[in-house]
Amino acid sequence: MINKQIPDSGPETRNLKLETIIVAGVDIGSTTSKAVILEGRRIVGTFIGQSSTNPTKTADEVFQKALEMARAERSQVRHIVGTGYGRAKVAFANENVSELSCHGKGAHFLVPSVRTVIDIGGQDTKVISVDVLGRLQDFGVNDKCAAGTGRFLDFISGSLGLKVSDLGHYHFDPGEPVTISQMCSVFAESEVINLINEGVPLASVVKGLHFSVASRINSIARRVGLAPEVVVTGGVAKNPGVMKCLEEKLEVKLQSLPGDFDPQLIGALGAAVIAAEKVNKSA
Amino acid sequence: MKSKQEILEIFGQVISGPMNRYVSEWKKSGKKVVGYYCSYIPEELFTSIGVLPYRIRGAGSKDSSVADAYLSARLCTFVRHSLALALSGELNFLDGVVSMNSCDHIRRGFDLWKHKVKPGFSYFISVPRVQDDRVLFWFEEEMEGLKKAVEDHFGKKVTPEGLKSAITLHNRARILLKEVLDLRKSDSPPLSGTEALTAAVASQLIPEPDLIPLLEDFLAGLKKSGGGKPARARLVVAGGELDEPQFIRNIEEQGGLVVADDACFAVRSFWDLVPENGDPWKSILRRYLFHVPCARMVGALDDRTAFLTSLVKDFRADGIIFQRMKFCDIWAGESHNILWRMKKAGIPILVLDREYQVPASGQVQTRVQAFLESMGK
Repeated sequence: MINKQIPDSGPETRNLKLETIIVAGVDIGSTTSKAVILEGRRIVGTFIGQSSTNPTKTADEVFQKALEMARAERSQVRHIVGTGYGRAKVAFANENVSELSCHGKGAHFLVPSVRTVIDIGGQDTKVISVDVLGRLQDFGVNDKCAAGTGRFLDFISGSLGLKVSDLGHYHFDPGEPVTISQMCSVFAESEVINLINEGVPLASVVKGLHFSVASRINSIARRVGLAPEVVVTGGVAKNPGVMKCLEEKLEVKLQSLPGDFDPQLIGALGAAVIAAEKVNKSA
Repeated sequence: MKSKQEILEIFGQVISGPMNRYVSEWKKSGKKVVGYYCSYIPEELFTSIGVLPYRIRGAGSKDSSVADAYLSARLCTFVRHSLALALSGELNFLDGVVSMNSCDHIRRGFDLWKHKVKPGFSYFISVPRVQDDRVLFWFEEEMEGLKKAVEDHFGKKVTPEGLKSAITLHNRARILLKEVLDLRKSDSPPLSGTEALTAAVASQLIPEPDLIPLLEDFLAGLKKSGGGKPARARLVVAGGELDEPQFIRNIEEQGGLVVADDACFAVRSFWDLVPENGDPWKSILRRYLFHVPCARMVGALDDRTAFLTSLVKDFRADGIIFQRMKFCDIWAGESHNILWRMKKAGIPILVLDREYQVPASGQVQTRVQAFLESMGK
């Protein structure tokens, strides 16, 4: 992925004419912290690290690592945008922008035809609608709790003795999906354990879980609207079971990001794109 | 004359907890205080016989567990915290409490008042759910019952003269608050939404004779002071129960400026005046039943939509932040109706759920910031 030329992506980013300008986006999330360095339109440095109780220090570290990969010096970076829950703590950033705008811009940079971004993250599920330039138009975020997020699947797969990355595999084993009725992640966990104890096949339980995640997302997505193309980002996008359930519920064809791009970096990438636009505007 | 800053400090102290210096003075002089919930209870009735109407809130409660023990998990945190104050004795300065069928949460709260707090005087009224002349007699009968109970308990007769002077007093405070509101129409208003809500809430906790000079000084100070810096976006905050300026501050810290607040304790409490001619009691009751409707009123969605839309237009707002307490059924339904209506009308709107006494979460900050960004601000 590094040093790869990203295909041309729409009118605004096409205007990033200053090919040698170096900018950065730093995304301090609740679980991981990410940095992306752009040189013109090329992604020249990325880094993903664990978040810590000291977001200012973490931001500094991930930025430094991404710079090393880009073989760039701090002094060469013209503009830095911070995003994510820790965005206000990125001391060296020139400004901070919400992760909703950044996810929109980041997805648009890679898939210019995108109008709806569904980001299934650790704590948040976001549905973001963007215009032809990737600018945030409207959004919805899960407001009940962690049900329907990546953390929910992570947590329940643990109690089933599975790796979260295996859930997608079990989805395609035979078995009718069960209905998971509990809204609360903690209660849903005991419901799932009960089902297993009653002898319900694992595949049925896994499918039920995936449908419950898809239902949560569906209610947010329909409120925001689902203009095509619809792109799914976040770790859960790697689970083909959830993607299949989502397509059924949403009744739309879903696009994934270009294969080798880590969806966790979308927020930081979007922040870097916004930084580049700022520099271009003032140039 | 007190400066704007001095008055804001006073108002800030007044709203920080249940007791305030003015109520304390009032009580020291041997006078009575009646606490009430909701904007459908006529303050003039109490003022006319020298009893202070005091709007019950939950500010100052840090933990609602003493009330939670008796209340369903589905009740809102506003009711929980106000009951927690009552149960822990912090509202013992109230000589009575009046409540109504605003919503089921407040009804259940009143059960607790009656059976566990045991105030010296308590009264519950049933307010019709439609704003229609057909049911005015019902409202009048209910209020007649309240009037008689108040007269009997406090041993004072409600007279037309007393009501007339109470109307004048309360109208004066409302007019001053409306003038303060009007200043927020300017390009760079001399006060923030946080400050405006602080003043509006304090106004419902201070005896009118003390309040009016404070509001007069406040208004004069605002007229003299220059405007603030131009805002990133002008916003109207709408929705149900809202008496926490901290909530507005969280919005304004993201760069938005709240220019009007269509909420309980805010615009809805002082927008309508009582006509000063005609039968005072009838004028009061008509004003209270027909004031800017709460979402509890059936068939008033068009009126509320029109009112909110006119605020957006008159105050040149860029968008609406619609807030509701978690578990509030009435405003939950309303928030959805308003969301779709505003989307259709092309007015940007953000709906936020919130809990009483909970400072802004990162989630709220992110949503407000993203909302401003989505408006291109």
